[in-house]
Amino acid sequence: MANLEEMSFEEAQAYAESHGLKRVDKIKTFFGYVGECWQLRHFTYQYALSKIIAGTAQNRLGLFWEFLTPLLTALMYYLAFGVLLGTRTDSDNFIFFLVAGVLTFNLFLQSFQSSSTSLVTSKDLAETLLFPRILIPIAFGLQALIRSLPTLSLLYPFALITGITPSWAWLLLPFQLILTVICGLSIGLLASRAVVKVRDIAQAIPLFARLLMFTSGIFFDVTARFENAPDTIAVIAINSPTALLLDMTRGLFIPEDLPSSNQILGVIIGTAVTFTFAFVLFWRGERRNG
Amino acid sequence: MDKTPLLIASHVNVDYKVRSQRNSDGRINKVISQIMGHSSTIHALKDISFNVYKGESVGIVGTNGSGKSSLIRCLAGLQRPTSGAIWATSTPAMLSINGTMLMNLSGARNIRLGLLALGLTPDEVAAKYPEAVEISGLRDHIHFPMQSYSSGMRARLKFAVAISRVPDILLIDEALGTGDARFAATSKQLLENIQQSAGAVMMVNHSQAAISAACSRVIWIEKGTLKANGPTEEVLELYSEHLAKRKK
Repeated sequence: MANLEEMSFEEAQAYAESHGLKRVDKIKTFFGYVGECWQLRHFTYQYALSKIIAGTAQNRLGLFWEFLTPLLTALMYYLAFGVLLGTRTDSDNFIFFLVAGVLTFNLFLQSFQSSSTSLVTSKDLAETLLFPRILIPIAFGLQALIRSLPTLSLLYPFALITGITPSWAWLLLPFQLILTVICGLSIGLLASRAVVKVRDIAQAIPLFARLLMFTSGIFFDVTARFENAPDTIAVIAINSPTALLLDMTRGLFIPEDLPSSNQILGVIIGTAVTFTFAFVLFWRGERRNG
Repeated sequence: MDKTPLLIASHVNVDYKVRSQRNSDGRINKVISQIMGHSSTIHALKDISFNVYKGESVGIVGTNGSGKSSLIRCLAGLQRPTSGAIWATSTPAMLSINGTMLMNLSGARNIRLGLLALGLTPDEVAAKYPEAVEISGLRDHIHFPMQSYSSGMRARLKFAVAISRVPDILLIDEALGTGDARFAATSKQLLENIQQSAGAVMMVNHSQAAISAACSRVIWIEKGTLKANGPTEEVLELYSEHLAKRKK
């Protein structure tokens, strides 16, 4: 019988390896990690669904709020900004401009905010079951996407009512939504890692969300409004990912709103790079997320 | 006689860095330390070494704050030791009574979710699900939300999930001792199954009776160090003496 207390670390290691034992905290290779996440995709999907069921079970009106909240928000913005501050003139079809903006921004924000705090809010589950931690924020992003589908499909009737002629571009909407969610999720992933390291950052997240809300052109046309701003500020505001994402949704219905192809490509590549980077961070920090 | 080790822990140390509001001398220092907080290190585990052989069931005892939970978390691969290492045939499956699942969802959904998290495919989940419900003994309550379950029922559900993929090493954190006699019998049967199928069980439990009923060996941890490691009766006797002294 081996007495481990008298063995040095090296001897113990040799002893363990001679019996084919592996370290329980062995770090996987990056692709091994991605593979494990892919294997657990059914879990991620069911987890997202479960969250939705759990969330709507509490409310009497349930899913109805998913429609009501964004529409009431749009109405509020219409009165506050469109009428009172007169941004109505920014678009020929201001109602559609506003609704498309609110819904896209909501989707982005849901995905970003819920994923950024998910590691803290789901601490219990992560401690009970052992699985790659990145699946928690991903499930939260997926949840935001699924929940938004009924509401965002409202854009079609809205477009018809406000007199937009249907075109093939309308069919690209689902892809645009997926891109929006992944973009929000990627930033949320980075933020969630930061929150685990420095809790104080959690305090700054709502502030950051508010900043995005007022600068992304939900209720005004960014290009027109930042025309007279200093160059650097104008460039940042016009090319911020949220502003571009909003215009991309609108552009599917109103071609004049569509950003340039370089800008669209920028959003796609930027999202892909950020998402991959976040994945690498999670992979490297896997044992410290809990 | 050469027994096969299933798990080896060698010189495991765990330190935590915590921010504390320590009182400092001088008014200015006091203000600074209140704003910045002090970073101090807590040694949760100090130089822990032991091994677990095939077919063993090992109990872990220790007073509150002795480092039991840190050890269990390290064993389950949920936490990295600051130094030292743990080797095992495969990452031990942890069954914790403290962890929660999704409370406002039904037991059925929680079982399915738990099985998926273990890496089972949807088909395998469908096949394993009836058995898991049977083990949990919750057939009449399976469609009620977990909020409505007693702590014993929650423990049984988690036990049923953890056991669905027969692990080499099962870690049980305070789980047994809850639940009715029938469940106790089922779970005892299952633990024996694990031990016979070349596995090992490690359990943390406050109840010395539960440990002496199930374990052949006991590890006693006190203030992060390994106090004793040996046959159940001997170690539990030492431990009881220690508890009696503390009360005086």
